[in-house]
Amino acid sequence: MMNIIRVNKLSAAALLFIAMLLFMGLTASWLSPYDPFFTNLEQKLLPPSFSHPFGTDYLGRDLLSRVIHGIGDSVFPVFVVLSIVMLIGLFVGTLSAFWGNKLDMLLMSVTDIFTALPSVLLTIVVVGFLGFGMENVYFAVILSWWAKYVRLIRGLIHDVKKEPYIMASRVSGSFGMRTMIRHMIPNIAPQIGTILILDVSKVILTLSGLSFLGIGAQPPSPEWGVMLLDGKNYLQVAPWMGFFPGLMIFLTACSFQIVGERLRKGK
Amino acid sequence: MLQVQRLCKEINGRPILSDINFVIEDGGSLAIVGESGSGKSTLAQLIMALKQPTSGQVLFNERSLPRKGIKSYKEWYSDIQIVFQNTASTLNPAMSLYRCLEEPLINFTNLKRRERRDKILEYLNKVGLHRDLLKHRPGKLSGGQYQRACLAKALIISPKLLICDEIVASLDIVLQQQMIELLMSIQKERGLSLLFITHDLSLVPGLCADILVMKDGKKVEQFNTSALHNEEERDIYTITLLKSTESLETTWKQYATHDNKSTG
Amino acid sequence: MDVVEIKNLSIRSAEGQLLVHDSSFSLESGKTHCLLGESGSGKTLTSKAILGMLPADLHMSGDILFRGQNLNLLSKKSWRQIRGKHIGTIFQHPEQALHPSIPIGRQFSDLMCSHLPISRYEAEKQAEKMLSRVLLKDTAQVMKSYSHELSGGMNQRVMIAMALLPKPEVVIADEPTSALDVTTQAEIISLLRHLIWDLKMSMLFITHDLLLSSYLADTIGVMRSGEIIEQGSTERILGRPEHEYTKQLCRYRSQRILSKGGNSPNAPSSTAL
Repeated sequence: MMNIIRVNKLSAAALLFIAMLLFMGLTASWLSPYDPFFTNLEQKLLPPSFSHPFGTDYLGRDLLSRVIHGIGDSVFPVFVVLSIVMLIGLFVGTLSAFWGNKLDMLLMSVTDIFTALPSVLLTIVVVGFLGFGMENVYFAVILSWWAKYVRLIRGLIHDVKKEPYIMASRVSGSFGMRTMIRHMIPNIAPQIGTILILDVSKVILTLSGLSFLGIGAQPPSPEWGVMLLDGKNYLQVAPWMGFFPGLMIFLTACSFQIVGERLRKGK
Repeated sequence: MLQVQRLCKEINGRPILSDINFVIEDGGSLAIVGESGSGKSTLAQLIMALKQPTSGQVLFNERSLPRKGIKSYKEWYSDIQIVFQNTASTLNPAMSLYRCLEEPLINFTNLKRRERRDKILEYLNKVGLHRDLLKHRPGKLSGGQYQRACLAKALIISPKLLICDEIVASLDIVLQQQMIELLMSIQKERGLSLLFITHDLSLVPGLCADILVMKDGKKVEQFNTSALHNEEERDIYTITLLKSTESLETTWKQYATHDNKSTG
Repeated sequence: MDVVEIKNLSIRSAEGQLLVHDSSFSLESGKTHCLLGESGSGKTLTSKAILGMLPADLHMSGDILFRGQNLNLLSKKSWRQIRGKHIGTIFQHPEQALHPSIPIGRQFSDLMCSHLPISRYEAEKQAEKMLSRVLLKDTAQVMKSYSHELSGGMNQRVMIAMALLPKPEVVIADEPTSALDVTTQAEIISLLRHLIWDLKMSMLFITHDLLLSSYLADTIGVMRSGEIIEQGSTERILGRPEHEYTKQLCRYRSQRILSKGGNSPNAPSSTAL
């Protein structure tokens, strides 16, 4: 991580932004100046000012507080979703690459089906079946993403399996799971990590996109996609309502992308 | 005692090894000499149970090759260890050298953390590596250091037989000789049995008592190293191998005689 | 007369690290000079500098004279012309240097026609003659084959034929046999010696093997970490090495002499660890 900072100012800025974002997300309840759900119709649609740096929305809620609280609803779930996807990928990918030809064929056919389906379409269909709501969206996103990670990790393990040090580790007494944990995973972890970080921005965009379509998080949640949807209706009267959530989505996605690219090219 | 009996290996119907027989007594040493494509590396992998033979058997102290079960494999590997050619990266690049060397100790012994540490330092010292290297990844080691580390890793669990598969092939002459001398001193000290696989006949004298020459997966002949120059008895292929090296030595012998006198 | 003369050649990496330091040597007409050194000693870089094939991120200083003409001052294009016509090269991995999807014969005629005003038929006839000089049997068949159909030794013979065909004055051979088997190596090396002798060419031979240089070279330069630490006639270097490193090389190599009457190989030496 220290190398990245030295290499490039842009990626240093991106890293700083991510760190600040995470910090603010964790301390949202102390940091935000107002209650994000407190409505005050007397102060509705105020432009940015000292007391309300990001302005207020059509119910008079403080936008800055909502954006800060939104981190918890927009960014943190991405990590949960990706961790689950990665764990599934690691488990199924290992199973597929390590044991059994028939199982491998079966699993690959299943992942083929999932990768062939357009992920947005799949998500909308799943949410359509299960009903609106954030939990269902997470489930749908996991469903449309897991296959990619299974294939990725299976491929990486297949490559690393041919390495001479895996053969040598057998002679030193490592078998099965032990070889997997001690010798294979540490050698493929950097690649997986890089792709995970690159995918953070994609999942952020997917999740807030779905909320913007109205099938993800529901009002009054301060999720950024929902706020953007609210802002859309007041674009001419109060452009700041859409501007700030949109900016946050943009900056966050960019930052993760920049850091990910750096990691991929670096080393 | 290692016994290799009628060992054959076919890959896709093509014979790689056919009818290989030899015996290495306890404390004995055998060099397997052959050019590329002679099947000598496949032979090493068969003895290490990294590949399954098509037919024939390998016995070590009356026990046959492990086929199933981690326990039987571990028993086999606690007796027989191998050092591979150093162009192949056989140390895990994601581990420090310390953890690489600790690996066999964790898997084969019940030593405590402290005892493991002492053992690693002892063997590091034996192969002539500095302890500062322990915290580095294997990628930081030079070619010679890498092979010494591999040797330490193989010897650290005190095997009875050591297989060396082209362990000096890509090293410079000075490092080659140092490695060979190291191997000789360890072999003498331990009474270790040695199976030394190489393409270079000139490495063998002094190191191994017997030579087995291989060509195209077949055994050409096996003889005592002292009988290498006995041209009436040797196979035509062995003589070709010998002459290939000797033909380049003519000028050397003409000039370098001074060298022997001056440097002793 | 010196065909090639290197004066104070230094090569630096982009980070400023000195890879070759102030080396000077010369190659006499009709003689063979050998650059001897372990991997990373800068011997290959030196040969690439002479060919003008250094990677672009390296900085070179010093003079490279070819028949008195400073190659360093030439444009890339004229340097390439000299390289094609007057300097032949033999690489370590012929299968990488030969084109994989053009038949050998075609590669020969392409090469010839680009340098000489001759017809393709004429070129192929000459090429076939050259191939028989490098002791390839069934030359007509070889001309039709692709490089991946030939063995390592055969490829290296083709490479040698290709390098020697335009009758260059200088041949640069960079570890031409280190990827080959022992028996093939001996054949190729003795072939190379005879051809160079017959055609009265000069050769810069680059190797890590003292034995090969003793067999081929008239003069030897020993390189270590980018510096030529000792040079002189083969007889002097082998017989009376002065530098400690050269002495060590000679000592270790003589322990490995196989032929009867040589040193007893692998006798424990006083320098053991």
